Amino acid sequence: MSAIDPRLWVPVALACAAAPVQGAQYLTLEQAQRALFPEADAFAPAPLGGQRAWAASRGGALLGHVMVDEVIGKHELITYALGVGADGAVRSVEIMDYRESRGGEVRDPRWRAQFKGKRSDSPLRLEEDIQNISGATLSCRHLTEGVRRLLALHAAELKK
Amino acid sequence: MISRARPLLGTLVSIRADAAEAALNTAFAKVGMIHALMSAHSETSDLARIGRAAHLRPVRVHRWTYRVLACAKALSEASGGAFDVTLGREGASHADILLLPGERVRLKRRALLDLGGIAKGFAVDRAVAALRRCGASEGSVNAGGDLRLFGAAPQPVRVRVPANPCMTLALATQSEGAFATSAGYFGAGPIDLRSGRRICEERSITVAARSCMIADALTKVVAAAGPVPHLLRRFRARAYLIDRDGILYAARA
Repeated sequence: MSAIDPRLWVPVALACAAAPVQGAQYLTLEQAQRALFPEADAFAPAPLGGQRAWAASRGGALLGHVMVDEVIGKHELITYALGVGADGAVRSVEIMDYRESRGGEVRDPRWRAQFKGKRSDSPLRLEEDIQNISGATLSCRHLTEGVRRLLALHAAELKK
Repeated sequence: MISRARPLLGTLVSIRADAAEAALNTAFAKVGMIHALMSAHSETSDLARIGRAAHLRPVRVHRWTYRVLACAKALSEASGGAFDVTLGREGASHADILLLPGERVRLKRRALLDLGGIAKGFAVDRAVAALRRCGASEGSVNAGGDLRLFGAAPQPVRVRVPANPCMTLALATQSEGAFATSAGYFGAGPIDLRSGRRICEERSITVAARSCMIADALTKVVAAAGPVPHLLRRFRARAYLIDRDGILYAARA
């Protein structure tokens, strides 16, 4: 790893100014149901294969299902809702809640040392939500796998 | 102001705007469309069609694909090849891509293209344009760290610390603009085409520019070739670096 060339780069902030990533809540359960099936007039609990799920209907006719699941990655915990139409087709996936573990894995002990005593009492900065953070976020692999699992579950239940 | 997030473009895309639910749905649909057009993994994308046939005959593509390729080519030329969407197999390079009138693409030799370093930024720009057309006056779109702000009110922007990506540093507070970051955390760092090695495993590069497409592509140029002053000036961009010790640097003007 080459050193930072001072002819090109000027330091502007130190690591001790860092603050933990905040999570974001996007939708409550009710809002997620409405977002996925805006035309529905009723959502009845209808667990599918042990998974939290609701049957969306309009005037008694089944429109489809809302399934709610959580995926846990290395750094993150995501609650999401999957909307599946009565025809078995995916309507949409909506993220309900996104949280990142605070601190996470610090690879470099030298770097971690700077944070001694800092991380636990860092004030929460609630005005800054997850949207305005530049820098790669998690991969969506866990989420994709979760959706695939829910769809398999949905298909198996409806065949019964 | 409402916020929604969906998994798209292989990452989490979040949109926040002072608009109706329908406006956000339209913006997500644009992102989904770009995903379908420019995915390197789909058999039916414009990229796959170019890979199959453009070395034999011109291939007509969507105007958005054409636009991204034109921007990619301009950046390749301006950076002396530090940015290149051709996967450098069998000696192919950006110079082998010919952009013909009528949104047609021809390759001088067989080559595979990968728009991974630029299409995400373009998708963010299109989502912002869609929100504005739907009447939104303020908000932001973030596709896994490729970020664009719009509206009159200044918004704070933070950037992840590469050695500890759950921590962030304040980068800027501004009302309009785009930011993109390239880093090795979460295994997503860019690869130096010349050495095949992953760039900046312990440091991250952030570029601020007027469009997210330019910011996205320039992070790869800066990661590979450094903060070339004339390039940053030409695209009215600023570059930042965070090193392994979590120190944030700005490129000298």
